[in-house]
Amino acid sequence: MITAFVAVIMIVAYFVPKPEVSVIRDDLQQWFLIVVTFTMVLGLLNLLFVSLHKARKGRKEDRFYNWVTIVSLLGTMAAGFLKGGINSPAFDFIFNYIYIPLSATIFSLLAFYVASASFRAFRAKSVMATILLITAFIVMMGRVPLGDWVTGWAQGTSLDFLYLPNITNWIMEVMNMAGQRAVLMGAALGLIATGIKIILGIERSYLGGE
Amino acid sequence: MSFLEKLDRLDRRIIFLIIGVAVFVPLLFRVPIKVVQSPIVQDIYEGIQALPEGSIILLSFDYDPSTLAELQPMSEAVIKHCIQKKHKMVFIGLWPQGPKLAQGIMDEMAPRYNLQYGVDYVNLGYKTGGLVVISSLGSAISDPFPTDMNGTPLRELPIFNEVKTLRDFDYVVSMSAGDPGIKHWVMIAKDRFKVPVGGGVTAVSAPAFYAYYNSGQLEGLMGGLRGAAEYETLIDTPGTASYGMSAQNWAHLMIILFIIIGNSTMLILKRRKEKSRVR
Amino acid sequence: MKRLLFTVILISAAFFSLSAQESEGTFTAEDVKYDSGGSVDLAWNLPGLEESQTLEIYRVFNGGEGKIIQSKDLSGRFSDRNLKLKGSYSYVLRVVNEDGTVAKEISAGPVIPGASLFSMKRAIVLAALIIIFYLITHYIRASRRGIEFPIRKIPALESVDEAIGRATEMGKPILFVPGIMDIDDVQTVAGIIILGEVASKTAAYDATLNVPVSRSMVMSTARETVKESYLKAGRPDAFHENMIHYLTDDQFGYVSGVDGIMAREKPAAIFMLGTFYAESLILAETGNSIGAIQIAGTAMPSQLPFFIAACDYTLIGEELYAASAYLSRQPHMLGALKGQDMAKLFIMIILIIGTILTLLFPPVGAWIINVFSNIG
Repeated sequence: MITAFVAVIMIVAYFVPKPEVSVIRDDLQQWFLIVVTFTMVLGLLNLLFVSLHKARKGRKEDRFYNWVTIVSLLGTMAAGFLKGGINSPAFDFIFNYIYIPLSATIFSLLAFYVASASFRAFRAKSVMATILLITAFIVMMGRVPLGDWVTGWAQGTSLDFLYLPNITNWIMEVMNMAGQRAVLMGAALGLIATGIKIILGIERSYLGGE
Repeated sequence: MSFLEKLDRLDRRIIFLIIGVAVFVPLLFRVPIKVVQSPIVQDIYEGIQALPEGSIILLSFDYDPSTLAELQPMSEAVIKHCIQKKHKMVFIGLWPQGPKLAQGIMDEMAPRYNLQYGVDYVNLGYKTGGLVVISSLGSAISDPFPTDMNGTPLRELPIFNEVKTLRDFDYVVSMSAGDPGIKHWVMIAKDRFKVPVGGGVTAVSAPAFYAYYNSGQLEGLMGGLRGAAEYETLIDTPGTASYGMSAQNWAHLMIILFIIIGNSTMLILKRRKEKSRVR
Repeated sequence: MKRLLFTVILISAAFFSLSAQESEGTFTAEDVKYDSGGSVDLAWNLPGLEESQTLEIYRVFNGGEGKIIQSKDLSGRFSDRNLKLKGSYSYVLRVVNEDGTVAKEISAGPVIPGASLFSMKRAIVLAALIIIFYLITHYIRASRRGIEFPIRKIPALESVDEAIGRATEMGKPILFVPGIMDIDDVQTVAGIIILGEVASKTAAYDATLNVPVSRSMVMSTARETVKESYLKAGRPDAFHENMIHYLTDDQFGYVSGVDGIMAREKPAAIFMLGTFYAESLILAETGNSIGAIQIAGTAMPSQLPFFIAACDYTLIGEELYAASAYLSRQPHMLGALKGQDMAKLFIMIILIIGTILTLLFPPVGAWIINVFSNIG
C-alpha cells in the first residue's frame, strides 16, 4: 500500500506541475536520501562486526584480510575526525596516496582482463562469432593510430570508405547505436512493467512476500 | 600437451605479463601521438570554441579516482581549452570525490595561468542527489549550493553576478563515470533548460551515448583516453592522454595478436582432429 | 463615394499603424505554459534600435517597478522567474538614448504567472503509460481467468538448478552479487527477486549462500527476502543474517572485496544479477579463473558484451525482469510478461509508422520530433 501510494504521488508529480504536488515529491526524495544516509551507519556496523567475527573465528587464511579491513576502516575514520576534518593532512594523505592509487589500480585490471577475455572469447566458432571477431578487429584498429598508419593512404581518395577510422566511426554510430537503442528500449519496457507489478502489489518477493 | 595445445590454452598470467610490458615500455619513453579527430569529439571542441570570450562553463566532475586515468586527462584538456578562450568556469560534483579532483587540477593550473578564484573559476563542491541537484540548479544555483566548497556565500563571488540559474550557463561539460552523470545532465540541462551539454565518459561506456549524440541531445562526447587525446590534439597541447596513446596502441596490437594466435591454433587443432578422425 | 473614401482612409491608417508598430517593434509578456508557476516569458523585437541606444526592461508589481534586464540586442527572449503565483505583473520596455533620455516606451501585460494543472507537453507520455498499463493489466486478468501463456526457454534461468546442484555436490558455496546500485534501481529489485528463488533452492539443497552487498538498504531488503525463502522452505535454522553482509559503497572497493571472496572461498556457482558498471569484467574474469559456473544478468547495454564473453549464461536486458515470472511460473506473472511483450509490439509498430511518416512527409516527422523533444 505504501509503495503504491508513494509511486502514485511520484507519477502524479511528473504530470502535474503545481507547486503543492512538487513539494510532496521533493519531500519524499529528501526522506529517501535521509533514510539512505542513516542506513550507511547500519552498513558500517555490519561490516565492523562481521569482520571482527571473521578475524577472531573465521578461516585462518581470511583472518589477516579482515584485520586489514578493520584497521583501515578505523584508521580512516580517525583521520577524518582529526582537526581539519576531511581536509586534515592525515585524511588528505590517505586519500591521495592510498585511496586514489588503489582505486586506479583496480580499474586498470580491466586492461589485463580485456586481453585474457578477448583471447578466450574471440574465436571464430560460428558465423556470428566470426562477424563479432572481424568487427572487434576493425574497431580496435580504428581506435588507435595504427589504423591511421595502415589505411591513411585511402583517406580523401575515392577509396575513403576503406579508411579504418571512418569504418570504425560508422560501426559505432550506426550499427552499435542501433543495438544499444534496441537493448535500451527493451530494458526500459521491462523496467516499466516491473514498476507496474510492484505498484499493483503483484511483485512482492523483494519485501519477503510471495 | 603439444606446443599448439599449450598456445591454445595460454595461461592468462603470460597474457597479463605481455600486456603489462606492452603498456609500461611506451610510457617510459613518453612519445606523444597525435590522433585523427572523430566528428563526435570535434563537435564538443567546436561548441566551446564558438562561444564568445568570457562565457561561463559549468564543469561537472562526476567520477572518482578509479577512473582518473581516463577522465582526468579530458578534464584537464577541457579546462586548458577554457583557459585559452578566457572562459570562466564553475566546478561542481555529483560524485563525492569529484570536486577534490577538480581542485587538484586547479591547484596546479591557477598559479600557472594567473587565474583568480571567484572571478575566473569557482568550485562549488559536492551535493548528493544527482537528478534532484540538477533540477534545483534550474531554479537557482544557490538552492543546492548556498556556498562554495570553502563555505564562501555565492553573493561574495563575482562570477555569480552573471549566473543565477542553470539556464545562464553557456555550456555544460560533464565528465562522467556512471550514475549520476552525463545522462542526467542531458535529461535536465539540455532537454528541459536547453543548455548545450557535452562531456566525456570512460571508453567502456561511450558506445551507450552515441544514441544521445545522434539525436542531438548531446553536443559531443569524448570516449576514454582516445577521446582525451583527440581533444589534446585539437587544442594543440599534448598531455597525459597523447602520451598514453602509444601505450594503448601497443596494447591493442598485442590483443589483436592474441586473437590471431588464438584463432589460428584453434583452426589448426580442429583440422588435425578432423584428419585423425578420417584416418 | 464618401463611404469609399472613408474606408480607404481607415485601411491606410490601419496599414500605416501596423507598419509603424512593426518599425516601432514588438514586446510581449506571456505566462510560461505547463510549469509550476512563477515564470513569465518576455520577448522583444526592435528593428529600429540604434547602436547608441540601450533597451531596459522593468517589472511593475504592486505599484513599484524594478529594472530586470538591460540589453543592446535588437531581439531577444528572457524568462522572469521566481515570481509570486497569482500576482499580476506588467512589464515596460524603454529604449534609452546615450544621454539618458527615453526614446520609446512599450508596455506588456498584465500577466498572472500561474501554475498549470496538467503539463500538456507530457500528454504523450501519459497516453503511452495508460496503453502499457492497460495491456499489462488486461493480460494479468486473462491469466487469472485461466488462459495459459507459454514462455520460451531462457537458458540462463534453466541452468539455475544445475548451478546450485553443482555447488552442493562439490560442497562449495554459492556467491550471489546483486549489483552495485541501491534498492531504488529496478535492476537491483529484479536481482533481489531472483535471489529469493535462489535462496529457496539453497535452503532445500542445504548449500551455503554468500551475498556480499554494496548498499545498506539492499542488505536489509535481501535479508528479508532470503529469510522468507528459508522459512518457506522449512529451513529457518539454516538461515543466518551474516549470509548477507555489507562490504562498501565504493565501486572498486566492492569489486576488490568480492574478488577476494572468490579467490579465497572459491564458490562453485556465481550469480551476478543487477546493475553493473566497469567492474563487470573484473568480476566475471575472476569467476572464470576459479572455474565457477557463472550466470549473469544486467540491463546495462555497455556491460552485456563483457558478461557474454566471460560468463556461461547471460540474461540480456529484459530477460532479467522476466526472471521472476519464469522461475515462479505464477499465472499472473506470466500474464504481466505477455502484456509487456504486447506493449513492445505496440512500440515497434509506432516506431515503424513514425519512420515511414518522417520519410514520406518530412513536416509531419519534424512535428513528431518536436513533440518528443519538448517533453522536458
